[in-house]
Amino acid sequence: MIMAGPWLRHLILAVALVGAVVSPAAAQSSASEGVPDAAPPSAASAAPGVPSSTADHSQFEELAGPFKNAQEVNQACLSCHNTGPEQLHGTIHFTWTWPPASVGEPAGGDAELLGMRHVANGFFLSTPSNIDACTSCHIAGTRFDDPAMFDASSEPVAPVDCLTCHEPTGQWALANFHEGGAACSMCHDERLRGKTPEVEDLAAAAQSVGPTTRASCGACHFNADGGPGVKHGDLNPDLANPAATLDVHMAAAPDGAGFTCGTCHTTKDHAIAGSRYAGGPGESPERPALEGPAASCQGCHSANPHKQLANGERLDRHIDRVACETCHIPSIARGETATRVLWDWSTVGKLGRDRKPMVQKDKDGHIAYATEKGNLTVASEVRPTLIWSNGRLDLRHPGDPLPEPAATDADAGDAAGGDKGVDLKAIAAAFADAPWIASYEGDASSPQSRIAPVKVMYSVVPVDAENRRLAAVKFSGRSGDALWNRFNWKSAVGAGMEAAGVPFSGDVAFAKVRQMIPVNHTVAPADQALDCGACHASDGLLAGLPGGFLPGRDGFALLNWAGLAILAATLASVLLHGVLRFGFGIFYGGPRHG
Amino acid sequence: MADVAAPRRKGIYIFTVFERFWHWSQASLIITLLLTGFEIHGFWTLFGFEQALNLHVYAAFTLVVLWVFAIFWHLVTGQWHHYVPTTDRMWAMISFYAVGIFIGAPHPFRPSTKRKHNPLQAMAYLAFQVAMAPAIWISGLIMWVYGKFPNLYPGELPVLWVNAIHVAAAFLIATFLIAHVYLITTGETVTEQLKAMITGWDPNGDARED
Repeated sequence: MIMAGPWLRHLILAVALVGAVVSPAAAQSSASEGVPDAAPPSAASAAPGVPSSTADHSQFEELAGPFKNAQEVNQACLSCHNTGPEQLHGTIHFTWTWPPASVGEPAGGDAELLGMRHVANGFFLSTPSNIDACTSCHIAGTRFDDPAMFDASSEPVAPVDCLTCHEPTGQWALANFHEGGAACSMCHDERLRGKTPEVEDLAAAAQSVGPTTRASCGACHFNADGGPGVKHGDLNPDLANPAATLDVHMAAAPDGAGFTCGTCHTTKDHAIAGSRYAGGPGESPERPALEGPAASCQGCHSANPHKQLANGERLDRHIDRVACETCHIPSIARGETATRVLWDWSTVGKLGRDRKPMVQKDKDGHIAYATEKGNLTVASEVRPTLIWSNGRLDLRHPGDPLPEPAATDADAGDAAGGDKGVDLKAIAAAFADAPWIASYEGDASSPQSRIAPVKVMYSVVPVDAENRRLAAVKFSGRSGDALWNRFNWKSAVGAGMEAAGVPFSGDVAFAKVRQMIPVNHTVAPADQALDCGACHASDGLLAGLPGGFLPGRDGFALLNWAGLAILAATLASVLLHGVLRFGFGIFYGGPRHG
Repeated sequence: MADVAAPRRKGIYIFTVFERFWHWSQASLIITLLLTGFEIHGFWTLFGFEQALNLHVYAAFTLVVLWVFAIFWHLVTGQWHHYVPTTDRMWAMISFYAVGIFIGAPHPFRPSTKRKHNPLQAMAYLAFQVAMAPAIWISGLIMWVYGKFPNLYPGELPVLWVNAIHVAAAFLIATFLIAHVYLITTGETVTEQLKAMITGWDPNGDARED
């Protein structure tokens, strides 16, 4: 909305109202402080001297070894936990598919299946064409090259490698991954020297098992889509041991609450709550966590978490329109690890002077170009983009045709700003017409929608030149058609499309796409939350996101202009009248009433 | 014994203690409301949004209480009749402001306890009381309910338009304030009317009983 220029407003109104120029002091009220009365975390340790578990695995003979290999370790687990694999076989951690089979098929059949095995993204583009490499992260752990590992009805059913999640240092999962046939380039933009991580003492690892930890979950989730922090600005290795300013829940006591991932992502029968595919910011906000697994802020903090603050009641009334994360995660990637914001696949294949793959770095030491990946850009302290979200993701699959770029495609207020180093605004402007391959549904008129933060990922991805179908690409492997062997897009897309079961014209083009990635982690301490003025201003964070009634932003430009015009005219009239009176008074002095 | 209104002093005692208290409290509350209101509307930053909103709500409800007393006072004392519009000497006033004031013509109106305000003045005050004030209070109360008791708010009422009425009335009241502050300088002397509203005494008031 357009208002009068600030100088004009100040001049007219300030002079008019108080007869003196009021200089607008930037007197922001300080954010109120208060520690929410959170429920005691389930991860809280028991009283001193009392064991925190009824089973001390380090004392079990079955786990004393010796073990010849990882499979033997797993067999030892299953000798007691014999239904563990059955519990896990239907979960998204095993199938990489949403909805879970127990919920039933989506109405549109396989084409509507979600989960990383099915959807396209702007990082590694598609899973089916790289199944060998991608499944290095799979919890089956030991059957790396068998696509049937996703299928719990196959014979024999794939095992579940318990230690992937329950070895507390995360080293087991990391070692598994490195044995699993992933190309180094999947995670390492630059070739590293030295040995790959390995777990030497299998018995020690077996005896160390316990609940999941930040490190064990993080072994995969902190490194999603190509290395530390690449995909998520709010999930990266900084969270293994975060400061309270980075994550007030996961930081160690006394500054933080000492949560692990599992404190919020509660579990029933190994099915973990809090997938991005389930729930939304407006769903069952008052549901207590004790009623079943539910990773939500309200589960602990209730629907009126600000009640002990001076204006808490007013803040509480925001929650039917504003997700908690919007104010309480003011920026992402605010630790040491940056997050990738731009990935341009179209520039892949430039070799170094030695005719070998190479990398180029920017002045901060971040890799700006890698032969295998193209141009890359990372950013730190990224202010999330705010959108209306009902929690439902609208996703594309490999082979889905992209729409032609629209003339104006402004459904998200790309008000990215406050970022260190990188000109995110310029990137956002360059992608302003690019279609979304992952976006949240929802709008201001839907009562289920909230204003919520997302990370917007900007990618230039290969498509079928004929029909703009999103391409599946084969990156690695022994055959010559893999992209990273010969840097030939036609054959890499050809092999990828075949793996994904999508027809391909034979010609590759590139398209700009955008992708929304949810932001739910790295909740900051309360005093770092956004203050009122961040949004309640004509040029605030919600300037580009219409909807609702936002005092400070919303009004009618015409009314403002008309009001200021009337004020200005009145002021001018009385000044003129006064000057004339003074002038004439020199000649016509004397009292009025005789 | 002579009381405070002893005839020794020239002029008339025109504004009672309550009127002056009402006037000055109302003036400071309205200025507070305009300053904070236009901050909430996004025109400037003075107190910070949160503090501005708090001040705005407190000042608004204080003004409502003040008005409850003022309305009661007007009804009980019969002082409401000063605001009954009249065309008597209307043209004389208009031509005085347009011409006479410049050439030293006598003021066509002398305030008395019977009629404290000139016809233009009475009309302007009436417009404030029956149009501007109700418009801004009703719209303001509706928005307060919208924020404070969302469940009581009628969903079909477009809050943006309620807000527009509130803002439009605020502009009119700000305009009124400018004109008012200027026009009180058009008495016998520049500060005479201001002094009357401070001390209660108008030295040029019409003391005749008629």
